[in-house]
Amino acid sequence: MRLNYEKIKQAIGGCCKSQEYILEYYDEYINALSSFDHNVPGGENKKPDADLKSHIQCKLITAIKKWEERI
Amino acid sequence: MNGSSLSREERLCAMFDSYCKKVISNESKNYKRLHYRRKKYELIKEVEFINSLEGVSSERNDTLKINLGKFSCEIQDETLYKAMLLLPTKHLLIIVLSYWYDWKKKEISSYLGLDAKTVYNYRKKSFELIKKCFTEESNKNETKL
Repeated sequence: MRLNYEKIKQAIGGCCKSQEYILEYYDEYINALSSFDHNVPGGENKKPDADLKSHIQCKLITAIKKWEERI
Repeated sequence: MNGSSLSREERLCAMFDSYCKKVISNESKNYKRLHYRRKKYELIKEVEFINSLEGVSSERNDTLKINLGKFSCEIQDETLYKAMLLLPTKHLLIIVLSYWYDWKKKEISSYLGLDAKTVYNYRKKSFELIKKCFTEESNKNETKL
């Protein structure tokens, strides 16, 4: 999976498919940051929290629309 | 010309990437901060509430009665009465408010300073415990017969 400029432009424009593509692109990153640190004896419990994940995804979609090219 | 436009697009992609990662990490931090603050608040409220309770007392006359501060309930069934006395104070209060006082989940959660989901979980756990008591009681009766 690769992020290209065309997809970004479409996502900013509100194209649902491109936004989904971007969400999928960042899925692993979101999963990594949407788990709470639980002290589980004998190992780590790094299961992503569904509420937190969907919250981040919503915020990401809102933020994508606000992104501006500044070059 | 083509090379410069490509590098511009690459730079924009990199900028977008870092922007998205920043949004994700900030949102994650904010959500977790809020979550832990809420948990801490709930814990403080719980301790305050338990300290404020005068204690659970029970009466056994003709009907079985449980007193919980200003709330009380009368129970006809002895198994249910025994099961309810086994419940932790907060769980017991949630059950009493739900079924003796007809309080809704929202009212209970605002009264106790808890999340609605927590009230739901407490109620579910209480039911499980009561159910367990009833099955144990019926097993005992079966072995007697």
